[in-house]
Amino acid sequence: MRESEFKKVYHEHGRNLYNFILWITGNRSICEDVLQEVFIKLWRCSSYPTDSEELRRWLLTVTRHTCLDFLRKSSRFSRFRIKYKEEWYEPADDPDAPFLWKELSTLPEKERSILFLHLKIGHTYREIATMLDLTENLVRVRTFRALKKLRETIVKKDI
Amino acid sequence: MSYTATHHPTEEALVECALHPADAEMLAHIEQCTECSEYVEDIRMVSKEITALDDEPVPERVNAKILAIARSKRPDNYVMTFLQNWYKNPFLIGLATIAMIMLLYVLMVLHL
Repeated sequence: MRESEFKKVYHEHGRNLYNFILWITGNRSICEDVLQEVFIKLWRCSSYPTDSEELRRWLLTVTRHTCLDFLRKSSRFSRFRIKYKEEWYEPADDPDAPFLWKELSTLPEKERSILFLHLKIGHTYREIATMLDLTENLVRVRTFRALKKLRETIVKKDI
Repeated sequence: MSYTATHHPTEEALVECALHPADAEMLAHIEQCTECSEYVEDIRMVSKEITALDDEPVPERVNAKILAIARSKRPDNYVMTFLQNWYKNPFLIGLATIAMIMLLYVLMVLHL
């Protein structure tokens, strides 16, 4: 990969990947480390996909695996775990957002990833299934479970 | 499958319909059934709120760090890349197999 190509890929996908990491980990400092790691992997990789759609899926898959590796390594340190939970992303300018983020943080990581990939990025169930190594039906079921849980808490909050 | 005032679609089907409305029969039922239409509206509201969550921009400091990766040299060498990937090349696998067979043959001849 040439430098100009690398920059183009970063400008195209960097922000999406950063927010995907934020959805998985909820921690800005982890985002920085993981995003950097993902692009180092891309720079060193000799067999990355050349098709833009495939590259996007490849990057999302690598990002998720890197995140999970990072969290697995870090979870050995209990102090880190506490810090990680306290730092859940809460944008200040939207009064409803902190509540939604809090509820999202209670979902299992897979459900959160599926919601991000389906609702924010617009991937189909089939594409998500390939990326997360699940069946298409399981992706549908997990989407249902996640939205059901969120509906229950959000409706309760409104009452 | 026909839906009535007492026979509603499953919750899973309603969530699916809220996200990807396609089933005409179910849509007709939802239009007439308050309970189901409320459920579908709730799911649409939740998914809309998720979609509307603001994306955070990548901090400038991180942008600079990552773009600097491309200015650094690729990890040195083609030798390491070759050693890591040679087995993915069918031609090299064939060549290695032939070399192994020849080596075994030579060893056997020398031994005898």
